[in-house]
Order: sequence, then structure tokens, then C-alpha cells
Amino acid sequence: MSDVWTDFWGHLTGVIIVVIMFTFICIWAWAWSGRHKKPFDRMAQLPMEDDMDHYGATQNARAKDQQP
Amino acid sequence: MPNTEYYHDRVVRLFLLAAAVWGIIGMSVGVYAAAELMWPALNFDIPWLTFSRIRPDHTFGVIFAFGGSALMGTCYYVVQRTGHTRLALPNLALMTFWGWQLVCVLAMTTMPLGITQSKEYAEPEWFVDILIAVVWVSFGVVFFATLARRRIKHIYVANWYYGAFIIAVGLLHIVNNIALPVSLTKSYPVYSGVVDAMVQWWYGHNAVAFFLTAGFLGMMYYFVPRQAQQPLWSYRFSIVNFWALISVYMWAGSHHLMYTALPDWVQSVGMAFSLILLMPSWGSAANGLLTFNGSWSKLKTDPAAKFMVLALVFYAAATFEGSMMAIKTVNSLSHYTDWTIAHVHSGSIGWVAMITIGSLYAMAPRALGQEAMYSRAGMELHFWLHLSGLLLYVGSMWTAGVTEGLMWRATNADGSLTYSFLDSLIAIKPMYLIRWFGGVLVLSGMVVMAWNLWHTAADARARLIKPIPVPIPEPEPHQVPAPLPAAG
Amino acid sequence: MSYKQFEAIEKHAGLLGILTAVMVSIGGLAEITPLFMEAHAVKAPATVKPYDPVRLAGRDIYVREGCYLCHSQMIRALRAETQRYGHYSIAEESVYDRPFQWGSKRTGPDLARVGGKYSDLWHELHMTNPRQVVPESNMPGYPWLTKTKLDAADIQARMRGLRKLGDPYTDADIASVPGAVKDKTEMQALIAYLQGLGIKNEPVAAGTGASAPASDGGEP
Repeated sequence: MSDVWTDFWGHLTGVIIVVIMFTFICIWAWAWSGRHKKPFDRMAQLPMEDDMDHYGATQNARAKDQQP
Repeated sequence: MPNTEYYHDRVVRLFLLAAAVWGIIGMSVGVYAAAELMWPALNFDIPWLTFSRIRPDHTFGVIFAFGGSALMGTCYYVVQRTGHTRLALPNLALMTFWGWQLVCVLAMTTMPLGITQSKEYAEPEWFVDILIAVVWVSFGVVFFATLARRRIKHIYVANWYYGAFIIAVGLLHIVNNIALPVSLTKSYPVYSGVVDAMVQWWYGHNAVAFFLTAGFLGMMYYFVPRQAQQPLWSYRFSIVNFWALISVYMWAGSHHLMYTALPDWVQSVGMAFSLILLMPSWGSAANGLLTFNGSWSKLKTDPAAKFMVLALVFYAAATFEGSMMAIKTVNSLSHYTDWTIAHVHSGSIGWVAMITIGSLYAMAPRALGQEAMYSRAGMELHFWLHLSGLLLYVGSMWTAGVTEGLMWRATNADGSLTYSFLDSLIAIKPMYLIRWFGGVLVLSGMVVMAWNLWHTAADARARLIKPIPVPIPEPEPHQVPAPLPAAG
Repeated sequence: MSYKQFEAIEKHAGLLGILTAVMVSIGGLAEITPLFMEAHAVKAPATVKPYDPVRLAGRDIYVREGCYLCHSQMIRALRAETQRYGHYSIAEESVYDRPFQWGSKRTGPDLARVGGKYSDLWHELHMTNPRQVVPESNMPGYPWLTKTKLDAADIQARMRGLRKLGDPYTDADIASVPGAVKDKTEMQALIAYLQGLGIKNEPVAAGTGASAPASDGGEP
């Protein structure tokens, strides 16, 4: 019983690993696809905006956000 | 358009204070425990002062009290800033603060009294565990509710890590602590023997993965670009790393049980995944370090940036070491020795504490309504105390660990063992002294930080802080979630 | 943008959470589920019995004091280990261990087969003040263990709890507690537990050389 069991889990683990690797490649493709470039660039700016909030530059930050 | 919405930073300030206090308490216990290994009479035959009773206090104190407070505080700060919205459910958020402090106080007082499950890093008994679960779920509710009311269309990557940290730690905590209470102060786990071992190290390993790695990576992905004043080296790379890290980490737990009674195939799977794990780990470290590209000059002027850069270097080093130690042949030498202690501390004093301290130094002035920290010299001093303490600690424990590993396996020509166990203890005693001194240096650095924060918080103490207004962006067409009105 | 897509994105935060939970669960499930299945198949060998009342009390004291932080109870299948501590540990030996106490660090020697290696008196002297018998030891003293007597009602409650979890304690076992623990101190219970560790449960067939008496683990 134990052998069958181990074999079963061995195969299942193998299948899961293949599925995960495939998913991983899809995520990679998704992340690098051109249409995400713009939102990602916008996102990447977020951490720098805190400083502006703080030093009374809120108006500037808002003005920047309002640009099309 | 008048702006009437303000960031909810009070809970952030409270967690900041708590982190500083618990950091000092947790590390003081560590220093005392290290001293007891050198001078065992230091327990004065008092039960609650004995090494085996206070060691869980040290680990709980630095991981969950210090690290937990820092993570929850920065999480509340980051989720507001990256969503351009104030915290949802501010009263529940305050409850998570007081709830977490209650958890820490209860755990830290009951464990030395012998009320413990003796499951490593999950020592608190069942009544504390229930409280932890309640606070944790509330924390998750506040976090995800705030995400849901964000004004920025996408979710910033730091929040992905914070989200994974909250979900996974909740899951791990609940599964590992399922127990049957037999009295107010004693429970038995539903798992026994080899299953308990596997569940425990699935928890133990992934507490490192999601508490000490994913959580602090969330911190890193916000505060590193912020401090470097440059966007992340590669935003999309951070997303790939996220999925790789969270899916691979969970498989690696069995590397804590090499050559034990655990079935062999589980050990092999654990070893293989531990090696794969090196890729997302180094991916994150590289992404953080390269973010500083072009602003390396900041290292001369900004101690917070110095803490962050070194944290990333130690993150890369500790994850490399961890993957190596998961190779069975290396593990056969390193396991059970002080090498493990060296590895844990290069991860915790190096990566976790340094990214936390760097982020606190970056966040504190903003949260406390100041232009900068009270004393830059204090930050410098803290940096050098911390770094030298860290190097002494890790160097001495690594030496001790390798010495033990080699002495335990040494055999004479006739096949008999060369050394008794006691020989190895005598050999490494000087290392215990150096380790203790390293710990003292790290602790004094924390005291300097607390002093510095205390003075930076002068306005906060006098209740003079002006709340910071939320910059409300113009709604994009078809923005999801639907834009909130400015007032609120 | 059609309404349907709209809705999918609206749930982004929730979706992110769910996908994260799925991803983190896969690894744990794949490794732990088969162990659960196997654990049900693993039966304790005839020589491994649930802890008798005194040893159970002793084990819980071992757990309470946190001994696992410095002493492992897991002899790995490595030659230098079996030479020093005895036959390597097997899964069946810890079926009644809640929680398992394999440990992760040896500031002191492994205790998986310490039973019978030292006398009761040696243990008592050692735990009262380790430096009486091992001058270079850095183990703390536990003199308070001699001062507290065992509480029969408490131990009975514990055995009833363990029975609910599946440990085969009979009513007679539980009824025998007051007689068994009468006037026993915590020190005596802990010594009884230690003296039972690894006794009579080494696999008989497995190897003749490896199961030879282990060399001393801690004596100078």
C-alpha cells in the first residue's frame, strides 16, 4: 500500500511542479507585456510622492496627478 | 477643491513607539540569555529567569513584538500612501494596536512562568493563540478594506507582500496551533510525533518566509525607492519575484528535518525547493540594491539608506547561506550546532532588523511631523554599533558552529569518536563570550535609536502634529474602484 | 469597457488575496497530506507504550521547562551520531509525543536514548546543580523541581485529554494515577521520564553495530 501511495504522491508532486512552472512563465509574460508598462511606471512613482505631501507640496502633487 | 481627508497616522505612531520599546525588551532578554550560556549561575535558581524559560521570550519579543509592531505600523502607513486614501476602519485599526500589545504582554509574561506549548516560535498557550488569531484577522480586515477604498487603480507591489504576509501568517498560525486545552494553562496539540514535526517546521520555516521575509520585503519595496528617491529598478521584476517567492517558500520547510525520522522523499523535495528559492530571494535583493543605482552618494549622507543597503546585502547573504544549509551534506554538519544560530541572526539582525531600522528612520520624521530625525549623529552611531555587533555575533557563532560540527563527527583511526560532547562545549565557550558582547553592541544601538525617536517625537508628545492631507488624484476614466469623494 | 470586465477588476484586492492563499497552500498540502495518511498507517510497536502517569507528568515538566531548546531527541541516521547516541530515531518512537520534542539545537547532548545511562541520583544531583557532577557544564540548575509535589487530579485531566486525541489510556490507567504519583516530586517525575527515553524501543532487527550501547553523551 505504501509503495502505491508514494508513487501516487510522487506523480502528483511532479504534475503540480509542471503546472506551477507553466504558471510562472505565464506570469513572466504577463508582467513583461507592453500594455502594463504605463500603469507600472505610474505605480513605481508612488513611493516618492510621500515626501511631496509632507513638505507642503501637496498642491504640486495634485497638479501632477491632474495632468492627463 | 478643499481637501478634508487626512492620513490616519496616530496608529502608525503608536506602533512605532511599540516597536522601539519591544526592540529593547526583546534584545535585552537575548543579551541576558546569551550571558547565561556563558555564566549559567545567572539564573540565580529562579525558574522564570532560567535560560530555557526566557529564550522563547527573546524570540517572541524580537520577532512578534518588535518585528510585528514594526510590520503592522509600516503596513498601515504604506497602504494609505500607496492608495492615496486614509485608513479604513480606524477604530478597528486602533484595536489591532492594543490587541497586539496585549498579546505580546500576555505571551511574554506567561512563557517564563512555564505556560508554554514548547513548539519553537509558537510557544504561547492556547488562550494567547486565540487572541493572536482575533487580532490578526482584524488586521487583515483593516488592510484589505483600506485597499478596497484606494484611489489608485492598481495595487502597489509592497501591498502584495503585506497581503501575502497577513494571509499566510494567519493560515500558518491557526493550523499549527490546533490543540486540545486540558486546563487553562495546558493544551496538547492534535498532531503527534512525526506529523507534529512536519506541521511545526512547515510553520516554523514559513513564519520565516512570510513574517520575516514577505512582510519585510513589503517594507523594503516601499521604503527603499522612497529613500533612494528613485523608482524601483524593475517594477515588473518585483511582481514575478512575488509569485515565485510565495509559491516556492512553502515547499522548503522540511529542510529543517534532514536525516530525521521524516520520510526521505519529503526531505529531498525540501532540499530541491530550497535551492530554487535562491532565485526569487536574490531577485528581490538585486531589485532593491539596483534601485540605489545612481544615488549611491546618498550613502554618505543618509544613515537610513545605509541601513537599507546593508540589510539587502545581508538578505542576499543569509538566503544564500540558507539554501546551502539545506543541502543534505552541509546540513549534516550544520544542524543542531551554533551555525544555525549564526544563520538566524545574520537574517534577523542583518536583514530584518536593519531594513526595519532603516524604514523606521525613513518613516518616523514624516509620521512625527518633523523634517528629519532629531540627531543624525545618533543614527550614524546606531549604524556602526549595529554593524559591529552583527559581525561579532555572526562571526563568533559561525566559528562555534563549524567547530561543533567538526568535533562531533571527528573519529580516531580505530573508528572511535575523538571528542566527548563536553569537549566541544569547552572549545566554543570563548565564542559565547564574543557573541554576548556582539549582542550588547546591537542592544546599545537600539537604545540610541529609542533616545533619538523620543526627541524626534517632541511635537507628537505635545500633541502639536498637523495631520497630513491625502493628495486626492483626479479620477481616471472608468476608474475601479469607483473614486471616493474628497471628504471623509 | 464592458460591465463584466469592470466587475472582475473591481474585485482585484480580493482576487489577489485568494490567489495568494492558493499559492501558499499548495506546498504545505502536498507535503503534509501524505504524512497524515502515512501516520494513520504507522502503528506504535508493541514496546512503545503511552506514557505512564509519572512519566507523563515528567514529560510535561520537560515541556514546561523548555528543555528542547538545548537538547534534541532525534538521533540522525549518521554514523557519528549513532556511535555517540545509539540507534537512530525512528518515527514509531514518537507516536505518543504531543508535542514532538525533537529539538533543533544541541547546546547539550541529545537525549533520545539517555534512559538508563546515568543513575537516578546522578540525574538529581545534575539537575539540582549541574556543576556538582560536570564542572564545565553551562546548563542552568533546576532546584525548584524537588520542592513541588505532583497533582494527581491534574494528571488525570491530562490523560483524559490525551485519550480524546486518540492515545489508548484505559479507565483503569486513569484511576491508577493517585496511587502512582503519591508523594512524588516533579524532580522524580522528570527523572522517570528521562530514564524511560529510548529504553526498549530501539528497532531490534535494524543493524547490530549501530544499536550497540552508545558512548557517553555528557560525562566528562
